[in-house]
Amino acid sequence: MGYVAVKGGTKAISASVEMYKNKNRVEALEMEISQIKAGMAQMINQIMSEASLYDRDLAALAVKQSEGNMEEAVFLLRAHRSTLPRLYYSTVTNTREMFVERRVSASFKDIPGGQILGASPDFTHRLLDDTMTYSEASFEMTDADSYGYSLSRLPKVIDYLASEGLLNKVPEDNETPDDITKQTIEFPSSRSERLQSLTRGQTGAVTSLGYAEIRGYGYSSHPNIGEVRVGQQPVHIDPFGDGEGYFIGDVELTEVDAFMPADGDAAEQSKEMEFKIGCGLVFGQNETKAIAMSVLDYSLSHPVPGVATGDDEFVLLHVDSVESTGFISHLKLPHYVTFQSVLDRIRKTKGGTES
Amino acid sequence: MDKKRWTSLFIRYGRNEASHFYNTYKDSADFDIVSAPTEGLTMIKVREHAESSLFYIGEMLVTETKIRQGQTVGMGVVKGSNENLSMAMSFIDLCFNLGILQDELQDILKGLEMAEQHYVKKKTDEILKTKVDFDMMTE
Amino acid sequence: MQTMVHMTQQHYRELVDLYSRPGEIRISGFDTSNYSTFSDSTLATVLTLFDNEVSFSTSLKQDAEEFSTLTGAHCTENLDAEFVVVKAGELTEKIFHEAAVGTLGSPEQSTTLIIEVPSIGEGQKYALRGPGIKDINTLEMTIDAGWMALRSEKCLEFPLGIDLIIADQDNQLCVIPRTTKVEVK
Repeated sequence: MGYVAVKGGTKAISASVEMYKNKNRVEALEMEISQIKAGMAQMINQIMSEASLYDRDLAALAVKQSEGNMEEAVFLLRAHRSTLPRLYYSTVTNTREMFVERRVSASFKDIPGGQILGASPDFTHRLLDDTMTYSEASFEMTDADSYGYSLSRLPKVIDYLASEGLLNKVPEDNETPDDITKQTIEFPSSRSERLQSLTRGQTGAVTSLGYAEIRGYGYSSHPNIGEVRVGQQPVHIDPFGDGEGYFIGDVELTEVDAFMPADGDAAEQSKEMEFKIGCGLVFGQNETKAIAMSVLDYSLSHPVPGVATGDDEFVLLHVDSVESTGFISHLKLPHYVTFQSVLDRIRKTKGGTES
Repeated sequence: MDKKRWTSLFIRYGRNEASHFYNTYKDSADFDIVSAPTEGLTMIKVREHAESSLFYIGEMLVTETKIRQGQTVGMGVVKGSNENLSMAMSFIDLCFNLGILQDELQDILKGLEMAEQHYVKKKTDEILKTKVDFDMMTE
Repeated sequence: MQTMVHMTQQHYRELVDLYSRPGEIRISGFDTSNYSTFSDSTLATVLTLFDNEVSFSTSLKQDAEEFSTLTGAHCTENLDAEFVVVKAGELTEKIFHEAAVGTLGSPEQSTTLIIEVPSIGEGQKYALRGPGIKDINTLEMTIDAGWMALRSEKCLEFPLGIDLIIADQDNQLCVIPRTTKVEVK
């Protein structure tokens, strides 16, 4: 049985598109891109991360066009990126050069450089505030404190551990990473493919699977967050390969180094080391996602047999927003013929051989 | 001052200065446009610190311009959609590569270094206000 | 207005036509300043086919830098690069020996030679046969028959093989894909 093409619905489809574009729109309430950028920064962070495209203006436009529908906004950005040429690859971007705006450690109280809370909702009461308004932040400069303090050269917590001899320093691995935007993942996956899939995974999916992994379906232990850092990361290119790089801009990144104390089965396999590190590194301030990513990076690199969150195919192919929402939502598109054939088969079995 | 340094000063603190420089001096150097400002992507390669390996975190939107005078090329690549800045940066790059208008550029860059110091100090002060002082707890 | 995009699109179209009609000759109307030692039609082909994902090899440093600057493509010493840009006078046996012919799974991972000859339309006469040619196409060009014999050796095991894009100094272009049988006439 082949597919049968049917015609019809053109007028209805045009009318539907028209209705979608115009529904409930009051001209006076139209949002400016600048307003979305200013007021919905965290939504934009999530969208840029899931779309794997860093541009606040385009993400804000996607929010506007999709009426704030995350999956649609991510889809729009992924579609847009596919129309643009990839002109450059950056030189190696290292978060040691990040201008840190927030950095906390859940493992050590006294970390070199200190705990810097920055701007975070973590310490608020989570009560809806009907008096909330925007106001211009005012800040007085002081002479003291920050003298000689460089936020763009903050030591990392793992360096501290390494200097104490508690962590083996691994030599730099400069192998060119695989790129899942050019070559479909093949299993077993490489680490660079895993990290690239996780960093652009849907926030909710990555978080849920990370939660499942530590709640009892895999590692089943409590990871310790060595460090969460959020800040502005400079990006450089070196188009002529002569080491004379160009700075092209800063991007906001969230980085998590999670310490995973070896536990149960995993402990027996890794006698030589006290703990392993899981890496979370994402566009924008997306702390929960970055932590969940670090958990999944660990679970996929040290899989426990028979556990879904240690199965790279299960995790990587299901966390992508465009793939999962695309497949689920395609179910509502016409399947008249396939369903008819199902019905035919049921009728045949019910009615015996005569039909 | 190396290229990384001056490009970061102009892009972070001197967007207006870059455009102003371009508009003031563009007629004093003959150049051809190799490719007018166009949007494209730059894939960002990052190092993760668990195994010190590399992966691609995603792409950023950039605007790129290339101009040339004879064999000498000037490039302007900047984050986001910004034709004017990209054009201005390619012109400044060309000036550096040709070794022209150096005094004028150095003057601007000196001013931008001041602006940077001021900005970084202010930002650092602001952020360090949220630095936890555990000693307070024992008092 | 004729932008670079318009010109490369047009040139690409010409190349596609030439690939499907081996031995036919077209004139490239590409107009851009040329600081390489190659002709305009060779440069046009480079600008059309190269981008920053491409690797190529060419003998002169000046040309390599020019191509890299204009297109972002990466220059390499290896002759099994995706493209080798060379003048007919500088052809070597090594170029033909080391050119990649692809694999049975991925025959497209082969080397394309962009060869600049003094002239298309005069010189050695060749008879071309194969897909895209009704009976026989006659092509004259100033390239030694020995080189074409080496090329034919590389194309014995279809789908493996190398493709040639030939340009001359009067901006003429023609293509000899791996499917074409070339005989000296």
